[in-house]
Amino acid sequence: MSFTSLAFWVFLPVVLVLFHGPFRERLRGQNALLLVASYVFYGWWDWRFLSLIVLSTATDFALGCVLERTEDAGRRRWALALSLVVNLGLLGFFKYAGFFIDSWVDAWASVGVTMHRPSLEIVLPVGISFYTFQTLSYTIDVYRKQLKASQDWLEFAAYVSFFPQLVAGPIERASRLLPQLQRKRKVTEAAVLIGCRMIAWGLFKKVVVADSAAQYANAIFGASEDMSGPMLTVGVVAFAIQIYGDFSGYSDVAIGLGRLFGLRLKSNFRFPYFSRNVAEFWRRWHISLNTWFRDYLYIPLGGSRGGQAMALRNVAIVFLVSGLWHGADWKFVVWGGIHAALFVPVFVMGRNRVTFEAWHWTHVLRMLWTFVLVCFAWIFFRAESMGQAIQIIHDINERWGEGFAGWAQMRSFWKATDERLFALAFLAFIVLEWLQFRRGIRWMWRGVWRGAWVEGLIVLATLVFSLRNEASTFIYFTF
Amino acid sequence: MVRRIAFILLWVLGLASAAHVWFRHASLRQFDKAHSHQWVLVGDSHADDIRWGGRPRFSGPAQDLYSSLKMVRSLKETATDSSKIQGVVLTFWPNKFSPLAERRLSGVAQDDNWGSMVFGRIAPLMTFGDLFRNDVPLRYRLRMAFHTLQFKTTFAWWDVQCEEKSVGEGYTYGLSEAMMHQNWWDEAQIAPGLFQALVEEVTTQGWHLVVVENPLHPCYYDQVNAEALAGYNAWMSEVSQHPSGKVDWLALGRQNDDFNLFRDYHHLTCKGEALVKEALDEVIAGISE
Repeated sequence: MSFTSLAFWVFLPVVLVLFHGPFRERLRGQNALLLVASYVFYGWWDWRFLSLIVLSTATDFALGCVLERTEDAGRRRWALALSLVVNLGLLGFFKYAGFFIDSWVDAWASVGVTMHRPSLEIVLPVGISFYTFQTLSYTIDVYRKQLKASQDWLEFAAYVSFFPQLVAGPIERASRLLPQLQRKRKVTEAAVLIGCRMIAWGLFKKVVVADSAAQYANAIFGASEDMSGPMLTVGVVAFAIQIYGDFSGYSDVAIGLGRLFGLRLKSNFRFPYFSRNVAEFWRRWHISLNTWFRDYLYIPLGGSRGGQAMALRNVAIVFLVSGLWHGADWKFVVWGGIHAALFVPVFVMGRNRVTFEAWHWTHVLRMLWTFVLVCFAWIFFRAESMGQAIQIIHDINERWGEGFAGWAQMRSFWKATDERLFALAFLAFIVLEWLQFRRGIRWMWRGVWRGAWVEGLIVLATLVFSLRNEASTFIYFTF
Repeated sequence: MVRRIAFILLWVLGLASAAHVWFRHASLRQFDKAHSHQWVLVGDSHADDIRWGGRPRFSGPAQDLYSSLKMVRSLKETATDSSKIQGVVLTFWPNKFSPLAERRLSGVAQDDNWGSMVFGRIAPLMTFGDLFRNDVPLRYRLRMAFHTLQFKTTFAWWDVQCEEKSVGEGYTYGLSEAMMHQNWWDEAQIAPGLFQALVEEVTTQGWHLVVVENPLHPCYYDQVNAEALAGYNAWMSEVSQHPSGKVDWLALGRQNDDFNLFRDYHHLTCKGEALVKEALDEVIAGISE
């Protein structure tokens, strides 16, 4: 079930009515309802894959209990290892088996040895990268004694599968979400208002911004060999806009839905395209994943404790693994590698923690340059293959002089007014993002009635573009 | 909270209504301009196969009969004494009465992007009165009203580029089970009435109606339900005998002996387009004399 589907908008009110009606005073009842609702939400795609969530949940709940009850270092290590094997095993088999087998066969083929390529045809379960990371973080935290193991399977299962963030994040830590599931939740009118605004803004980002930009990105990447340099550049920028609108939009909707159930989810994006260097970009983009990698990979690898060379190695590992987390393809590894290469100079110069508190106009130039670098890396992320990515970079350089010749042809079935309305909505989006960035996230909604005018416009724009654009699935569902 | 929701709803409704009035006005201007031409083309993607020499074309892929009717009505609405229009050319074929066409006209949501595409072209022309007109089921009218929120303008297209590449020899395309084995002509409920209404709208205005049936690949006739096709042909012959004498049926469907005419079983190449254009020009010239 997708947030943009009709089914979801029938499902949600039913769950909300039950949650705030019959189950209002019953904490376990509410958790049970959230669990059932989450399984229905997930099972809507393919109920068979619910077994994987159940397996991951049961394993980590049981291992958490074991870790809580024993002080024996050996047994604790075994319990942790088992959690890693099960969760990474699930992820490895369903997401990476085909990739590693193909890479293995290709590697032998490159030295002249032909091997049989087995056809596994494994379907990637939606959201597997997200919930396995959640359960892993729980067991690791319990192992580190940073968190007390949950003794209630219901609240733990509800934590793992909480439907708003189940399939595309934010990746919630147990230390943050479990306590909220353990105490009585109070949903105020103000919280509902904030939740509804977040949902509306998230849908606006997805439906108006991302789905519109996707039409340009898809058309240009789909016929990249016929496109001029400027057209390819438009395609890359369109994809940068698409993926931001798509993913941050999903996160906003998830956070907003959480508020409707009295639960606060982690902020996942903070205006990443206004970053002034790549390090700042990574503090603002997919925050829940990056902090996950920091806490469960970078720091265990030694972080910056072993000198600069070790720190650089660890940075590189984190970015490469992060790339691979996004998809089982070398192009994602290269994407991670590019970001590592862009991050390292900032890191070496000690500017990776600069917060740019005092505003200066030159920051705009820094933002533009960072955006260009990030867009360069997106080429690998979006291209169908490594070959296409390299060809696009080559063509942007070589075919720059051809101008925007293909524009009219590409858009032959779109009339000028369509683009004008999108341009207007997009301009409004940039202005609103900028004002929120400069004046605070709540600026847009400040003042009771100003908020209502903006809410109305956002709802209307979302309706307009949901009817105009062909509905597309969220990009991160495939990760 | 209730006051806030009520305020937002009113604000959205007010804004949407104002925008619709603006887009309807912009759309009608397109029809207004069409009156400086003698002939106007209305229809589906078959109309897009015909180069039209700078004359306006209110057509689009998968355009349904109601949309064509609404466009004809908009032409009438914008007609003044200085209008030069002599007639309307409508591209047409048996599938306009098919189960798929009927399903679309019923207003039931389609799996493909059909609703969004077609309603985007027709909804800007909608008036409040259309909600109460029984040409199509209420569900269709409500969906059309909802799609006024697309905020688009109905445009006239002016010309197309034909394609040279044809299907190969031995080409075939499998029709749906319903088209082959059902007497879909007898089952059609909505489309016949719409077609009849369109004929009346054109002729009562004193305009000519030329219904053009483009050539269809032989594989179509090999498979299509014979009984249904016979019913369709009989009815079309009857319509072309309209008492006003202003209806012509240019039935070119069977002029299909050369596979080079087709780029799929019902769309034409440049060669196919030339064949239609020649026949159509002849009919139009005859009427204009």
